[in-house]
Amino acid sequence: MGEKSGRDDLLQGTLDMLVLKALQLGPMHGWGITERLEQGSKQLLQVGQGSLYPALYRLERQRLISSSWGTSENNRRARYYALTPAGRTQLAEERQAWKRMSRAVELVLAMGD
Amino acid sequence: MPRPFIDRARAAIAHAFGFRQRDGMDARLNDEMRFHLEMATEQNLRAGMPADDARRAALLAFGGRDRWNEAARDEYRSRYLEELVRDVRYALRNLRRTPAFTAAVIATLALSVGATTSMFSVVNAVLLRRLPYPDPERIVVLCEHNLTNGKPCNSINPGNFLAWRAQSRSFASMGAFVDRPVSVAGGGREPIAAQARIATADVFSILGARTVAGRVFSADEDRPGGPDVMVISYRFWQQHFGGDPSIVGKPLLMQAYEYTVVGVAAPGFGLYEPVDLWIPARFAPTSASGRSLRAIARLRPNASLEQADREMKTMAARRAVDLPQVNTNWTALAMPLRENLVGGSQRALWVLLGAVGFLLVIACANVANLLLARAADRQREVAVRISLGASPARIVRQLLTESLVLSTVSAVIGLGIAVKGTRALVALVPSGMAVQSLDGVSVDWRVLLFTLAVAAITGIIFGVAPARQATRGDLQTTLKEGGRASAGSTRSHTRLRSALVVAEMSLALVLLAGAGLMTRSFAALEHVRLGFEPAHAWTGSVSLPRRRYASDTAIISFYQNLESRIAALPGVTAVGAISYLPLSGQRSASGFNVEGRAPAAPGQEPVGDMRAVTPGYFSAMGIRIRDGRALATTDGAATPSVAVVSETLARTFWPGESAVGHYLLYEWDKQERVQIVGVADDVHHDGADKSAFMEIYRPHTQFPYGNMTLVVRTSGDPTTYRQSIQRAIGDLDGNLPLADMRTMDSRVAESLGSTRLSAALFGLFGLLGLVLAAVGVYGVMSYAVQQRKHEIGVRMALGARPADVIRMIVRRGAELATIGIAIGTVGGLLLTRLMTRLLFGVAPHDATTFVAIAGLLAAVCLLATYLPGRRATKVDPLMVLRGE
Repeated sequence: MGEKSGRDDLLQGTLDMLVLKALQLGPMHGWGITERLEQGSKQLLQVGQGSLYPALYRLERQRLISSSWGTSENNRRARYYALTPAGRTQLAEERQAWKRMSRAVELVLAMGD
Repeated sequence: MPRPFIDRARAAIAHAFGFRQRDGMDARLNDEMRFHLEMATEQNLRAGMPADDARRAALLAFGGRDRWNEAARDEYRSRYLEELVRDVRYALRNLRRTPAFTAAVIATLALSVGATTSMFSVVNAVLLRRLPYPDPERIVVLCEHNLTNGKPCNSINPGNFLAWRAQSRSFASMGAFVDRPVSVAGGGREPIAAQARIATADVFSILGARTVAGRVFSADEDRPGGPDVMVISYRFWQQHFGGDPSIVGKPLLMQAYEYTVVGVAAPGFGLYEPVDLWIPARFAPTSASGRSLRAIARLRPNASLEQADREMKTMAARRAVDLPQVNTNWTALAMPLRENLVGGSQRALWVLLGAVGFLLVIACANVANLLLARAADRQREVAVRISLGASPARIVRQLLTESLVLSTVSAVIGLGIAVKGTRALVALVPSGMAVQSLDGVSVDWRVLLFTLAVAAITGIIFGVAPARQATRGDLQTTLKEGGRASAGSTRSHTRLRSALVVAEMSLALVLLAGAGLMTRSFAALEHVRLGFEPAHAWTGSVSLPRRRYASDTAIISFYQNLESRIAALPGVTAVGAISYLPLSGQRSASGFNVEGRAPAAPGQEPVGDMRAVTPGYFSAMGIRIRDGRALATTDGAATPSVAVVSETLARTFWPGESAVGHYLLYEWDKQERVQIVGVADDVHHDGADKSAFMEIYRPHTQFPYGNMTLVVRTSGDPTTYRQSIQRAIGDLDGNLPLADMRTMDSRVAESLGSTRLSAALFGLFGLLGLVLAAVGVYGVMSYAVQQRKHEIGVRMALGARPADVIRMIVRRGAELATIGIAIGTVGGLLLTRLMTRLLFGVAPHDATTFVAIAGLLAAVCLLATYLPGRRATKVDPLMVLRGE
């Protein structure tokens, strides 16, 4: 997970982690995930469907999430995604990694201040 | 949740190429997109946009369906292919970093794949390949069989053949033939020595003959008084007539008779030995008693072999009643052509194939060992990569790629070895062994694929399995313990590796035992006293056409003149001639009776080889006369009939007393009564491994043959005399070619050919097996030493001497070697029994051989253990204790 997508501000790996987090709160369809991310980041993160769906399919291929058809709140057919146990583990690990890295980045940036 | 393997595999393949999912995927993408659009539109509506704008804004924000579809689909389509390329490059780099390992694996696999494939290709070509005749399994060989003296397939009497052909109901057609050396001249050429096959026309139809020019002769032409027509072989046509199609219709002189060439046979056509031309047999019913023909027949579509065989026996019984003086005590049989062709060489080739199979197993065990060692070494690397976030599946895939790269490279090299090896082996196969001409034998693709599959599977199992185990292991322990991998996997790995090495050594021992036995057989064969002196003896045959040498006097005086001319050449110490040379594979036998004893029942008389010889023969061949005298120039047509007999005959009838002076009675054209004047040493006429026969040598002057083989003993190199001998013949008669010119030495060497080949191949396989086993032991011991480096360091720091350390290591190696040799010896004793029929002069359980082999293997393995042991003592205790 280290490839830059080129269109977004988010590294691909980070986006994947955030999507996993969004699903930790419960199964949801794609649109709902963008809403959760927007709300969770206090409107700072706007995830376009051009990045979201590729991320969802990638995570599904890696068996970190699973999907199935369901009915949305307004009675429409939508594809719902959910975390798998592997996904849960992966999320925990990536949170740790993220913490370590951001601390390291902070330390370097604070050098000589 | 775990899904069945097949489902996963199918999904993986579909994934890799984006197949099959497409339709479902497209539908799903469309549905999801539609939902997302609708939700976005609703959001815009709620925010207050008018309906159209809401939708359009949503669409704009979407940024175009196609690009979206593409991006999404890209994620779906697996990156397996890109990753594969990256894996391959990584694998190549890794392999290059450990050149010894890579070279060892590739060499081992390539050699064993190549050897196995070559061996099987040859076995296939020699034994199994489809015979080049239409419906070959319906062709049988007809034989006569004497109930007392029992050669399994004796030649056939012409009168019997014609009677069978008229009476039989099991056969659609029946043909017979006999070969003769002849001279062919015509068109202003020098006379050529050729091999002629006098055959009935049915022979062509049974074998499905095809011609490249003209035709074969028909049944009409094959009758007494029919035309003198001839079919020539493709090779003869190319060699002497330059492939000129106008030869058809032209006359050629054969044995001074004019024959018209009516056709040229297709290349490769023939049966048994290759011949140069065919002429019609023109058999007429006869009551003559000779048995000289070979016969083949084609079964009728609804007749079985058993039926045909039974009919042969019935007809033979009837013939014995009709013509008792010829057929009493004789029966007949039919055997499948393939069995008749393959006969003796079968066992040797299958045993060799088994041997090379063992070699393949040893090689795979070795490769497995190497891969296990490498996997153990890399456990730490794997653990580190996993802790940094690599997916275990990815790592396993990478290792798999490495194994496959190794297998592929080995396969390519192995293919090269197989091609070269097949060609080399085919060249070595003695001509008598093969079912048919071995031209154009190539690698058998099925076998190549099989051996490649075996090698690849070995690589995959032993390369990947331990890695999978490593990825599931306890990462923390692995990382902490550094180079020493976690205890659990080490123990099972080591046990497995030791087991593999023990297996290798057992198999190597069996191989070496086989090799040792074959080598001793060959040596024993070479040392058999053949009864004559092959060194410095030149041979060549001269055939006198009956047309120009019609009388016995003419034949006799020709050979006498020729011999005196050749004897006059400088450097020639003796000259002689014989009707059928030892090791020529030809003989002419007759039943006989001893005068003064009760005659044997007809058909049950003792049988002796009848040979016509000139007086100089015994000294030319270096055959010793042990009793009485040799034949002399004084023995002529007017003097009493005499003979020299072989030691076996003398001993059989006159044990303990001299045979000289007694009389033998036999029939040959007329009743003969000959006096024994001398006894000669036995000669192994059929080869070193066959026992000597009873021989009756008659003087040429009393028993003239028009086709004799000269034997010239020279003081120097015999081959240098060819031209002068040819000139001597030419001086007497310009139209006589010299045929089959060889030194006796080369004939002897050829007769040993198949045993030599077996011994050489076995030796090669045994040696390779030994090398592989030694390498295996070395590898396992090196690894063990490395594992125990810490322990060794501690011991040395505590005062252990280098000798103690070495003894500790060697003892472990000796344990393995002992088990391996024990198992190998037991297995070897069981398996070498299969070789009994191939051995000569040595028993399959020969103690000396086994002890020597065990000793050799033990010595080699101990050396392979000692070397790493010595390296262990070079370990610096301080460095080890401090920890890497």
